[in-house]
Order: sequence, then structure tokens, then C-alpha cells
Amino acid sequence: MNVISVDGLSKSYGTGTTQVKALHDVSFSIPQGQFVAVVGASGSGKSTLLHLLGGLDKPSGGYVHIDGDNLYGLKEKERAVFRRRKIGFIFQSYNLIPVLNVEENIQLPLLLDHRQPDKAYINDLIHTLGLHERRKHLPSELSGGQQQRVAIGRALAYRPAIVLADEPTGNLDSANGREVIDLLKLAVHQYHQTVVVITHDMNVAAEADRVLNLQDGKLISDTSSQGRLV
Amino acid sequence: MERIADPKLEVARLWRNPSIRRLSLSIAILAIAVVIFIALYSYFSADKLKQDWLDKEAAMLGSLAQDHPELATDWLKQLSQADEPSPEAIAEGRRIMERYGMTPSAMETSWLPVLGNYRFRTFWILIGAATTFIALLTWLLFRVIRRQLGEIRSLAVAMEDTVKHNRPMAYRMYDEGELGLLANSAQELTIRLRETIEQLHRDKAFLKDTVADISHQLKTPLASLMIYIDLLQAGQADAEHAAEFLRTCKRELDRMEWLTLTLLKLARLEADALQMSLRDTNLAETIQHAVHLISPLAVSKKVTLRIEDSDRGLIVPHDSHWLAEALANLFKNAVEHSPIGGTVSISWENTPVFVRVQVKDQGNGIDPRHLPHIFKKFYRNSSEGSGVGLGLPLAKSIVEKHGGVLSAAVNPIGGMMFHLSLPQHPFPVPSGELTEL
Amino acid sequence: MRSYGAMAGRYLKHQRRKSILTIVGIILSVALISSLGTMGQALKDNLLLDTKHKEGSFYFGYSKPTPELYDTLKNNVLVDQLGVYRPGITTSLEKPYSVEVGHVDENGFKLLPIHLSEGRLPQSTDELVVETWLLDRLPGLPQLNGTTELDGPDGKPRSYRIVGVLSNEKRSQLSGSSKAYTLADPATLTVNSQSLIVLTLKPGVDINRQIEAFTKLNDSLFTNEQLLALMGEAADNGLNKALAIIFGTLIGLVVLSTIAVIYNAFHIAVLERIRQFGLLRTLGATPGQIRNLVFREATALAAVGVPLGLAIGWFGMSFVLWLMTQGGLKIMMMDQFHLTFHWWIMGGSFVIGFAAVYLAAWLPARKASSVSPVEAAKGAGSIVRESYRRSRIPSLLNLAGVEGRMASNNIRRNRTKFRITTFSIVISILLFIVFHYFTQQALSMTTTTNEDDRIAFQLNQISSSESDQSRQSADFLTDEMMQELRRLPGVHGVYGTYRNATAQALVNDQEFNSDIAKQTDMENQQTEWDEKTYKLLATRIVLYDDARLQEAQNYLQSGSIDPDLLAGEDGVLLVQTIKPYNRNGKKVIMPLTGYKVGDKIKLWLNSDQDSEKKLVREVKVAGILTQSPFGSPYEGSMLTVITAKPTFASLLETAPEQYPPSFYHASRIGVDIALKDQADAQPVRVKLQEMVREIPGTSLIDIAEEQKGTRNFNLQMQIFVYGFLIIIGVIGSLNIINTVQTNLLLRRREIGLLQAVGMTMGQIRRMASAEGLWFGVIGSFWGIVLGFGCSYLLYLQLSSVQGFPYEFPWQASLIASGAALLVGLLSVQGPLRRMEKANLLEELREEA
Repeated sequence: MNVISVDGLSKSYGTGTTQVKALHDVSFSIPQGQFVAVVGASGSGKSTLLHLLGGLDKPSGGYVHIDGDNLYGLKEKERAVFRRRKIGFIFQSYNLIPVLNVEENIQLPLLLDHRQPDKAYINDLIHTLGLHERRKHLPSELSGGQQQRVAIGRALAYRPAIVLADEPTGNLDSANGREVIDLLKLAVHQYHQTVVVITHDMNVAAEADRVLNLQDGKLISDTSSQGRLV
Repeated sequence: MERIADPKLEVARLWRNPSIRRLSLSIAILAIAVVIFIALYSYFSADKLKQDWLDKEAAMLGSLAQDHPELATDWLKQLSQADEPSPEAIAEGRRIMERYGMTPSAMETSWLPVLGNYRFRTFWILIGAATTFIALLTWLLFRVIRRQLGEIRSLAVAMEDTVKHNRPMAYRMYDEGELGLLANSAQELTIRLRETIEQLHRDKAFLKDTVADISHQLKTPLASLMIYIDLLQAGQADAEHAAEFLRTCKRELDRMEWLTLTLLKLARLEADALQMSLRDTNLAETIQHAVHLISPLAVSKKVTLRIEDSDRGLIVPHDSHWLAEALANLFKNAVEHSPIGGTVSISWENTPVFVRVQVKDQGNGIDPRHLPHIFKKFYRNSSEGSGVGLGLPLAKSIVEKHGGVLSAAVNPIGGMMFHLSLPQHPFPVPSGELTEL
Repeated sequence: MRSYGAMAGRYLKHQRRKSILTIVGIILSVALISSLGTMGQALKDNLLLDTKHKEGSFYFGYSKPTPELYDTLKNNVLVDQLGVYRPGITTSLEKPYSVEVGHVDENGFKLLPIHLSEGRLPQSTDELVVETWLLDRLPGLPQLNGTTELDGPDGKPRSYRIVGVLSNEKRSQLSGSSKAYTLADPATLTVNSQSLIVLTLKPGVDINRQIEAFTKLNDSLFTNEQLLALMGEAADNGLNKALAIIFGTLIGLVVLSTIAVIYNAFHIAVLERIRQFGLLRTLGATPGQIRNLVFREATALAAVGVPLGLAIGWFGMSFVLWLMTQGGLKIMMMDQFHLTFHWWIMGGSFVIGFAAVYLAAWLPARKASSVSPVEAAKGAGSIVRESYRRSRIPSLLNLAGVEGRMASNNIRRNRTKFRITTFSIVISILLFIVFHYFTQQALSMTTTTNEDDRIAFQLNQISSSESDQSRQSADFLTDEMMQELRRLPGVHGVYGTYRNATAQALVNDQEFNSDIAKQTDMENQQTEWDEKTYKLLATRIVLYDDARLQEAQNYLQSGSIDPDLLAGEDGVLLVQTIKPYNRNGKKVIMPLTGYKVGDKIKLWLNSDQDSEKKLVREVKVAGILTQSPFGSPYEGSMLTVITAKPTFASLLETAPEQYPPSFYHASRIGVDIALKDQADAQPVRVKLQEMVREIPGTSLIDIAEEQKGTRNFNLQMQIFVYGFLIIIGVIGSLNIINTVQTNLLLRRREIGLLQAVGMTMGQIRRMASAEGLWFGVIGSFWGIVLGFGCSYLLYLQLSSVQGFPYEFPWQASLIASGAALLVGLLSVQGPLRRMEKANLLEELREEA
């Protein structure tokens, strides 16, 4: 089944002569368990697409279906709850609440949903992410790479169906960047999550199962995995 | 993963249900209305009682004043006394009253019109008010319960749809509160059900494919074998050719064996029939072991397998036997693509999350467009190598069973780079596979 | 962390300094509100007690009762306490003193204003209570528990034992006739038309409605007006209403200021964290949950601030009052000033405090919850497209060079932030002006502020019409004796008392204030002189010696006070402001005439004589005073003309028939002694008593206690007033500092950018200072405008109680504006200095 299904999606800003078309009639579907990279030059509409996939913004036209639900048919409050349970975000920077420590940041979506986290699971997760010594530290005391790992930890903690990452390696050096990508791949393989990554780094794109190429708001190529070749 | 563990419904959790909040508000408003009503009622009722009672007293005073005016003044004074009546006075008065038959029990309340009116009034008004309020309350409660039951019913209908007709759930709810959690679990259940069904389909297809693969791969060597055996049986070959044929047959058989074994291994790995036993072992030793396995091949091609400067004492949880096999396959691939006399460099590094092993060769590399496909079964981009195209997929499967990642990239300075990332601390096993409940 | 709500606590802890500042603001405001409430209520309570003390605690009484009336009242169910007073026969004592022994029954002692200072009340018809000063005049010179002989009710002398001593009254001392009281025997008590019946009603009875019914019983009913007014039962409820409105307005203003402070703090806190709120939304927080977070912060702040504020308000007040009593001050001229703890005031302040905090937090909460989740996602590069409307009016700031122009642009760009900042400044200034105005007016209304307050003793010549001529031409007390008195410790001044004269001033229509005719019922006769028609105005002519003239300097409105000049040119000091009753029956302060310095006033000196020839003298106005420095500050309808000795003497001589020399002369007839604040009256008293014994024909009037009370009252009012004003100033300043500072801190990146572009720190400082100043200017402007409006409203309320002309609170406005500008300017410097030290790149790169 297609976890993400985008149909004729468009988004424009402004009116009249100052109108900017960020997305123009984009359509694609993503099945579960795929690692998808979205590439394109600056201003090609990648971020806008991501925001719309996550229900952060309102499209000017078209539909976004996640797990069969029309995302923009829901009310604002319902969309918030939907996000809480089904979508995970990782941004290029500024992912974490500055006043909460590592552990609390990871648990945050669960707490918003009034659910008590499985302590053992979270513990393990923190261990695996190599954050054990820093679990009580505030984001201001962490390096960029560590902060991104916390963000990924958050995405793994409540296992949303989709993880949307906006240039997650943009602010990191290559070693940390590799780590982030490896972790995201793990999310796909181990936890059957679907990961959509925006990137301009071709190395990252190379790791993906599928690459969507945007230019000027239009989808110009969709290199998906083909069948096996002999 | 989170758990909705606690089945107890604490008060705080109760408050999160929107229906409870609405109900509380309505009840609060109702309570205030009731209080106001009671206040008004008691005020007005007391007032009316006062009037009635004063009328009676006035009548008494009037009739007294006609004959005994001084008594009237006394009576008035007694009336206006605000102090508590003294028990002696009460006792004395009661005695007099009893003498003339006026005891509380004998006095019918209806003979005292003042009290009679009061009782009548109180009874009917309070009954009326109570009935109204209870009716309102009932209506409110019914409304709330009906709404909730309605939601439950919609959920039930939607679930029936999914279970019986395998359609996606039509009624979705994204809300806080207990019903919301129930709906969420129901939704996840249906999704998982569908995924399980799909997984089963996939498994079936996979099985079909594997069998097809095996038979396909075996078809060719079997065919050659048949020809050679026929030739040998026919006795049409001379001794030299016969030996040649026999050697070829052996080779093909070896190849078939290796193929079957590997395919089976792969199939079992992918079907989760094999379990890795992850133990903290020295990585360097495992790598050394793998190098050892491939050294004959390397020597024959004059390729050097060089281990770069890396931490020899590194301990990583892994299954030494299987990881060595995976590494061996990687090395094999690297050696096969290396030029004569080339070097395959092996190194590893320690990062906070992973241990990353790098295998670099000096071959021709490949077109980046092919990169996603090299880990697919039977994919061969070049006719180099004796393999069937199963080595890399097998390695990938093994690594993934370790909770790690295997990826490939083109080395900008030439050749291929393979990265094998193993978690230092294995990722928590997801609670339950799809086909396990 | 058990739930996401705990984040609110983290935010507060993270912003410790700011949270503490906000809490301090809340504490101050709540303290102020509860203090105002408590003070207002305590004032009313204590005024009530005091009125009961001065006027008696009865509600109303009958001045011409009959025995039947008494019986009826005794049996009336509504009557609570019933008291009877029967006057007695006056016994003459040593001239000019006399004493009257009145009979009062038990309840009467409770209801009438008879106050013991020592001993006890009479319990039999043989026992007596008298005023302290009378003890020395009674036959037998008795002390407490001594006996004396006075005329009894039947006219025959009988012996009385003095069991108690009453506090001194000024009235009785001045007039010489005093009252003493003994118990009325219930058996022989007869009520007749000379008696006085007073009574109270049972609690809960509507007094106002019953008065009519009671008047029907006997129409000689009179009410204890002041008491009933304070209890809210008077026909005229104006006082209570006015008080309620005034205090309500003041409290309302403080609440508004609190809301402004907290709104600012929250608004800025929310603005600083807008990205975090966006992030929370991307994680799936509903708008309601975010609002909840903000409200939780508000609750935490209120939960700490409000109770502390209540506690500090209560204890602070108690402490101040305790200090004052320790310093020997009688609070508000009352014997006992209790700070009564009213639950409704504390509860009300509690509720108001919380409500204000929530109200203030509401809009910021809404703003936080309405942030779009994309805000967090957009991140560093977000360029907000600001709607830039070209404003037609160029700002004055443009004149101040490029920095000014930038400052003006900055302000225009973000109108909302500008309005918020100036709003708080406006509120602070408004509060200060209104409070200042109110307290000054309240002070002037309730106190008689002139030098009379200080006069504690009077030494007077006992005049008798047949006194020696020689004595009359000599001054009472020689100048050396006056100097001696002046040297006593604690003496502020010694002033000579002289005869007054009255005359009629001939005033033409230009000089006469036409408003008088419009607003009052005053009618003035007219007369002709020198072929012109003049209005006749009664004029008081008063002699001041040098000492008094010295004090008059403080009351000078225009002109000058030079005794020699006065003498030389027949110069006078004029007091032309009077306090008549207007048509509505209220007192108003207004000028009677419009004389200026240098004008000449025509005094018709023999107006009482029906002579053909008018003896008119002209005096020149050398100075105009705001009010009379001695005596009552304002006359009801007369002009007051103050002269030096030579002029006075010559005026008297001009019309000897009007001013017969047997009575009128320019010699001293008495001496007023004024004490310094906090001075001990006893040494002076002892000296004066000695003088009385040494110099025959002198009498001492001792009003030291009363004077001390009055004087201290003013002092206390000043203390309270300035205390309140300081607190308000602090609240306002806190507000301004908080706002301006966070304003700047939010623009750190912008300032970093300016530095990168090449603006020097000095230029940036000038720009920020220009902005700060402009806030102050606009804020002051609006603050003063609104201050004028509000103070005028307050004036309307206050003048319904007592009339006086409206004066714009210039002083308060200037102080407040100056302070606001200063605070605004200074509070800009701190953050700027901090920014100066910070790394430029860090600023630019900083994301949060």
C-alpha cells in the first residue's frame, strides 16, 4: 500500500504580479519502507513539498494522502494529533526545545499525546544513539551531530509511519552526516518506516532507494528502483 | 515505542476526554443555576412565611388590644425579643398548651394555615424544580453518552469493513481522550493487518521467486551436466577429453552446490529463519578471519589485502561467523574487480553510534546510476568474477541482520568504496515482527 | 517529566531573571491594590469610629421630647439603645468661667460624645466627671477623687465627688463655660422639653426609611448626620458614592497598569520563543496545548506573586503604621487606628490579581497558539514581507541625522511593538499623574493647611471693659519675654495677637469676580462715592507682626512682603480667595476679586456710622496671598487685608467712631505659641503656666494635644502619599525597563547586521537612544493627555463632595515625563553595552 500519495499538488504565494508558484501539479506515490531522496536546486520547491507532506502548510491545490487519509481534509486540531502519531520531522537545525534535556526531547511527542514512554525502550535507544553520557544535557551543551541524533531518536521513539527530513546533514561535517544517513537507513530497514529526505548532497541521494528530482516546482524525474536485472 | 500500559483511568487522564470536559461545563452551569434557584426560593419563601406569620400575630394583637391593651403591649415586647427563649418559659408554656390539648402531635398542620401553606408551597415547588433539573441533567447525560456511543459504532462499522472486506478504514478519528486512543489503536491494527496480509503475499511471491531463481540458475549447469554425462556415457570422448569433461562436471556441480547453499542461506536470512547470535567479539579478529578466507584468491590474482591502521582492540557485538562470511564476500568482490597487483585497503573507525568498516578497491568503479542495483540478486555489471551475483546481496542481508547498514559508493580517486556500519549498541528489537503477534 | 505541561516550569526557570522581574511587578501591584483597598476601608472604619467619638454614636435624637415620647420609644421594637440628657443649672466660677452640671443616664454616657481621660464614669448622682482644665477653677481645687460643691439640679449647692476626668476641648476653653456630668437617677428621671433623647436602632434596620416614621412621633428629630453619612444611611449618599468611585478608579488604574506590565512581559516572552512554539506544532501540539503552556506559566507566576503581594501589602502597611506610632504620631488624628483585616478585600485582591494575570496572558497565549508550524521549519532565512505603508507625516526624528532617520524607520516598521511599548509608558505616566493629583486634592480637602496647625498654646490677656487705659496701650508681654519664649526648646515661633477691624471695600465691577454672582447667592450692596458706583465688600483688616509676616512668605502668590515697604506705602497683603457656598449648597473655592499687585483698594472705614461723609482710605496691594497664613485659610465672603502696625494704627485713627480707642488699638493682646513637629509640649507648658501665675490677668489655652494630632495628620498623609507614589513609580519604571530592554535584545541580529555593514557602536547607540527618547516623548504626550482627562473626571467626583477650582497637575506631569524619558534613555544603555561586548559573528549566526 502506498503510505504517501500525492496528487496534483500545487502551492503559490502572494497574489497578482508578485505571485510565486512554489509547486506546480506534483504527483507521486511512495510505498512503505522506502528511502526517498528529493533533490533539486535552491528554490526548486523541495522544502515546500516537504512542508506540505507534513501538513505544516496549506496547499493551493491538489491532495496529500497519508495512510489513506486526506491530510487536508482533517481539521487543524485533528491534523495536529495526526502529526503527533504518524509524522516525524527532522530539520536542518533547531530541532530541539532548548529548555528540555536529551531524554525529554526524545519523549516529547509521546508526552504531547499523554502517553507514558516505555522506559526500557527509550533507554536502549539512547544507548544506541551514543547519547548515554549526555542524556541529561541541554541542547546548548551538545554538538551539531549530537543534536541531530537526538532529533532522529525522537523520530524513532514513537515510530511514526513517515519521517520527513529537511537537509538533515546540511550543517554537519561528513562524518556526522554519514552517521545521520546510516541511522535513517536503519529506520527504514529495522522499523519499516518511510523516510523522505531533502538534500542537495549527491552522496546522500546515492544512498536512497529512489530519487525525486524537482525543478522550478515541477517533478522532472523520478528514478525508482527497477526490477531485478539479469 | 510507547505503551498505553496503565489500564487505570486516573482523574487527570479522564479530564483529557473532550466529552468529559463538555459534560463538566454543562454540569457546572447547571449547578450554578440550581444554587441560584435555591437561594431565590428560600428568600422568597421565607418572606412569604414572615408575612403570613405576622398577619396572624397582628390578628391576635388586635383582638387582645380590644379587651386587654396592656397585655397587648407585653405580647409585642415578647414578640420582639430576639434572644433564645428560655427553656423554663418553653416548658411552662407547653404545660399550659397540653392542658388544653394543643400538643404538636395532635395539632394537624393543616389547622395552622400559616404552616399549612408553607408546607404545601414547599412541597410542590421543590418537586417541580427537582423534576426539571433532573430532566435537564438526564438530557445532558444522554446527549453525551449518545455521542460517544455513536463514535464507537462508527468505529465498529469501519473495522468491520476492513476485516471482512479488506477495505481501508472509512471512519478515522484523530482526537485526544480514551476514544481517540481506541480509534488510534484500531486504525493501527487495521493497517498492520493489511501490512501483514501484504507481507504474506510478499513472502509467497518471494518463495515463488526463490524457487524460480533456483531452478533457473540450476537449469544451465544441469543442462551442461546432462550433455557432458551423455557424452561420457556415449563413450564418445577420449580419455583426455573425458577427464576434461569430468573436471568441468565437478566444477559445475561445485558451482551448483555453492549456488544452492548460498541461495538457501539468502532465502533463510531474508525469511528470518536464521538467527544471528550477537556477542561482543573482537572485530579485528573477525576481519582477519575473513581476509584469511579470501587470501587464496587474492594470491592468485596478486592482489594485496591490506589492513590499514585501525583499532585492533575494538569490541563490537556481532556474530563472528556470519560477519566473516559477509566480509569475505565483500573482499572477494573487491579482489575480483581489482587490477593485477592492486591493493584492497581495509580500515575501520569508531564513531559514537557505529563502527564503520571501509573496503576500498582500485578497480574501475561503476556508473553511479547502477549503484542502487548492485545489491540486487544476480546483478552483474561486468563479466568479471566467478560469482553468480549473490555475494553482495548476501553480505547486505547479513549486515542488516546485525542491525547495520551496507552501502557502496564510487571512490572519486578511482575504484569502489564499500561502507559497512555496525551499531555499537544493537538497536532495540522492535516489539514483534509483522507476522508475529 | 510527567507531562508536557512541565515545560512551562522549565521555561520559567530558564528565564529566571525575567520571571523574577515579572513576579516583582505582580507583587508590587497586588500589594498596592490590597493596600489601597485596606486603606480605604480602614479609613472609612476609623472615620466611623472617630465620628462616633466626636459626635456620639447615636443615630438620631429629639431635642424637645415629651414623657410619652420616651415611653413609646422605650417600647419600640426597632430601638436598640435609648439615652437621656438633662441639662442642669450653671454654676458661675471665677470670671469668666462657669460650669453646668448635666444629668446623663447610663445609655446616654454610651451614646453621647463624653470621653474619659482618667478615672471612671459616675455611677451615682453624687459622682461627677469634669474636664481636666476645669479642675483648677472648681471651688476647693479638687483633684481626681476629690470633692467640690456646685449647684445641683434644684439650684441648691451640693457636694459632688469627682470620679473621672474628661479630655480638654478647645471650645470650652475659649468660651470659658464647661459642662460636667453626673448620673441621671432613673427613678427620678423626668423627660421634659429641655432634655435630649438620643437613640440607636437595632442592627439590620434600614435607618433611612425609618427616619420619616420616627419624625412623625415628634418633629424635633435631629440626625447624627456625619455618622449616618458614613454608614451610608444618609439621605445624601454622595460621599459614599464619591469615595467608591474614586477608590474604584484608582484601583482600576493600578489593575490596568499591572495588566500592561504582565502583558508586555508575556508578549515579549512569547515573541522570543515563537520558533519553539512552531517546533512544538510540528511535533503535533494542538493550539490548545500551546495556549495551555502559556497559561501554566501565568499561573505559576501568579501563584507566587499574588500571595506574596497580599502578604507584603498587609505587613508593609502594618509596619509603616507601627513605625509611625512608634514615632509618637497619632494616626489620622484618631486615638486608635486599627488596621482591620477584611476578608473581602484580601479575597477581592486575590481574585483581581489572578484575573489580571490571566487577562494579560490571554492575548500572548493566543498569539503563541496561532503560530503556523511552518515558522519553525522556515528557519533562518525567513524574510517576513512587511507591509510598508508610506506614512505621509515625516517624523521629527528625521531631523536627527541618519541615526534619527533609521530610528524613525525602525519605529514605523513595527507599529505594533511601538504601540505596546508606548502603551506601558503611557499607563505608568497616567497612573502617576492621577495618583499625584488625587492625593494632593484629598490632602487639601481634608486638612487645614496653614500655620494655625502649629499653634499649641495661646496666652491671652483677660479683657474687661473697665481695664486700665495704661494696660491697653502697652503690649501684652514685652518683647524680651517673647524672645525668651522663642528660645524654649521645641518652639517654632511666637506670634503676637492683635485686634481685628472690619470695613467695607469699595469695589468696581471690573475688579469684582462676576462668577461669584453666577455661582453663589451672595448679594452685595452698592454705594456711591466720588460719583462712581461701587459694590460693597466686607473686609477684615488684620495686623501681623514681623513674626507672622515672616510666615506669610510661604503663602505669597505674587508681590513681595517687606515690612518697611508695607509701612511706608500703606501697603497691604491681600487674601482674595474665599470659600463660599454655591447654589447647590456645596463649598467652592474661588476668588472674590481680581486685584493685582500695585492696585489700590478703597476702604470705607466708617461704614457702620450713618455719616454723610465717607471716610475712605486707599491701601496699596503689595502682595497677594493664596490663603490666610493664620486663622481659617478662607473666609466665607470677606476680603482679608493684612497690614503692618503703622498702617493699622493709622487706619484706626482715621475713623475713631467706628473704632473706639477703648477697644481698638494696635497693641498686642495675646501671644500664639507654635511648636515644632514632634516637639515635647511639656516644658513649654510648664513655662507658660509659670507665666500665667506671675503675670496677672492672663489665661492659658492649652490645645497642644489637638494640635499635635492635626499636624501629624498632614505628615502621615504625606508619608502615605509619597509612599504610594514611589511604588507606582517603581512599577512604571520596571515596566519601561523590561519593555525597552527586551525590545533591544530581540533585535540583536539586526544590530549585528548593522555593525557588519559598517555602523559604529556610537551611531547604533545614538539610534537606539533616539528610539528610546521617542518612546518617552510619545508616551509622555499621550500620558499627559489621558492624565488630564482622568484627573478631570476625578475632579468632578471630588468636587461633588467639596468644590474647588480645577488645576492642571503640571508638577506631576513634568516629574512623570522627565522620569519616563530618563528611565527610557538609561534602560537602553545596559543591553547596548552587553551587545557591544558580544561577538559580532555570534550575533549574526545565532539562530535562536
